[in-house]
Amino acid sequence: MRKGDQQLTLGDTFRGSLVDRAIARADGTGLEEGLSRRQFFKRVGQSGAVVAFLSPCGVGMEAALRGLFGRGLLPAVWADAVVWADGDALLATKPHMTVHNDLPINGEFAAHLLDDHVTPAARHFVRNNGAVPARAKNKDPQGWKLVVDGEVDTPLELTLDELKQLPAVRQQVVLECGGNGRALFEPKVRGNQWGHGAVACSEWTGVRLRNVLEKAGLKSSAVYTAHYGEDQPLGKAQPFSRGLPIAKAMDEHTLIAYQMNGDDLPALNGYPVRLIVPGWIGSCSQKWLNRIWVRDQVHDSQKMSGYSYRVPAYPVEPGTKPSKADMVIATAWRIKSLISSPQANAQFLTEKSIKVRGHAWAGEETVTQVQVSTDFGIHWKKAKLMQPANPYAWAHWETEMSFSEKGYYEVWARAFDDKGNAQPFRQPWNPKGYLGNVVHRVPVMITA
Amino acid sequence: MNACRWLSCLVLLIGMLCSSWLFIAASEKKQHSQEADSALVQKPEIADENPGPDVLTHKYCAACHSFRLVEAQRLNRATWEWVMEDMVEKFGAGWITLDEQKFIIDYLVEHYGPE
Repeated sequence: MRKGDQQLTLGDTFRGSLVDRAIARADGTGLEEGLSRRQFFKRVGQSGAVVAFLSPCGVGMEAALRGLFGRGLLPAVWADAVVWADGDALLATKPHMTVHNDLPINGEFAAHLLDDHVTPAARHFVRNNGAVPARAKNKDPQGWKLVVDGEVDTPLELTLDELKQLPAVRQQVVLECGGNGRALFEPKVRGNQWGHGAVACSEWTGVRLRNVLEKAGLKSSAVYTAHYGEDQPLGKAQPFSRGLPIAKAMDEHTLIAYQMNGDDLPALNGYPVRLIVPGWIGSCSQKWLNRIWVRDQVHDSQKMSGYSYRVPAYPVEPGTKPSKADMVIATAWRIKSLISSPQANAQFLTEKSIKVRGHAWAGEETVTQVQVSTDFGIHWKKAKLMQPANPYAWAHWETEMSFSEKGYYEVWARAFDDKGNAQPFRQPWNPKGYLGNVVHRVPVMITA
Repeated sequence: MNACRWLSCLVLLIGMLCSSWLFIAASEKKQHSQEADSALVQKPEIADENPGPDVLTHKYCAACHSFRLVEAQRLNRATWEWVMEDMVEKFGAGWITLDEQKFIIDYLVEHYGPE
């Protein structure tokens, strides 16, 4: 959407700082076509020469073309078209997703669509850096193996069956993209403009990473893990790779997961196998995992270095960029909450009792309290907080509110943890917009 | 004398075998850790000899990723320059000339600058 194109509706002036525009139109129509198929053929294909050029690529190419043409924007190298094929089919597995980027696929769900206690697979956000591997699209485990090498006594190559022979662990875990809430940073920061919905809590089944590392035998020189996956990177970028300090890798809650909510992992969320690193930013939880390289130093891939997934070591003035030397690796999430009901811009009558509810989570800490305000933080009401299903699952909270006078209101939620931390009212700034945890504000209209 | 020559030949041969093995091993390792070093980034062909900044920006950005990613952002000049630097240096868009970079950055600041 270009500057000036958006339609202003009542309240948008107020709501500008609440949610980014992409989320505001999260009604299932998020996927706009930049260029229609017809226009595309007119502009690029003309006589169908492109199709003729691609046709020797064989079966599935029609779908590939449909997938690419459907969104109108094409990678420059036609021979690689198949890499990006099936985009439409993949997106169809996530109905109502607000799509930020379709090459590669990145999308989130509006907060009211995240009301479930356990997030269904179809509502789990997608943050991809590269192309979804063919194996994931075809759900084909043949030939997949997990390599464990580096600072280990016995390098391993495990098949899926061999991996599944290790003791299975099943737990609910909050996964949240490190950039969730980026759209709320001022001044604006670069990257996918995530609103509130790049977070989910699904139930994951897998084996402890610890069991696999113990099977290989860690050498005393082991310092850090380096994770690799089967997704093909964009352009000439390095493969997307991040890692963990050994202590977190050996934590009993860190899993190599092969099931989500009791089913195989979805193609977009890492089939056949991914890491689940509870409490830490999502990029630690490598998707389409096929190699764990144990290193004798802190992993130094592109996505571990410079400004990638790093935050300043000290608070910085908004809009300033500290030197690389002052940037440290972003790890655990901070105290945070989400209002999943009411829906943004909902309308209610005065004196009607409104159910307000949502979830709260706290990285490595424990949620102790959630408070709700409807008058811009003057008065607060303590919400009823439920026990999370297990450590690192989110905690549900709920309360009821009513309004005696008509008007524009905002429901605010603020969570507290056991270390005395609470969510801030204004978003502390960092140059790449990581770890955003400002209080969630949901606008509602009370009519007479 | 002959034996000495034979020995040096043998040493040379072993050396060659070892180094080629090392080379293959190294390239295999590289292939493993940098699997599918794709060639997705190539300068896109533009029919117009003097394309406007809009055509240039759309074509060049969409060579690797959806243009939607660009459209969703509202960044100041310094940040767009930072983005361009990363695309050229880290993500393989080294074919964008300095003049083109400036052209594109001006366009981005004008159309996708802070509101």
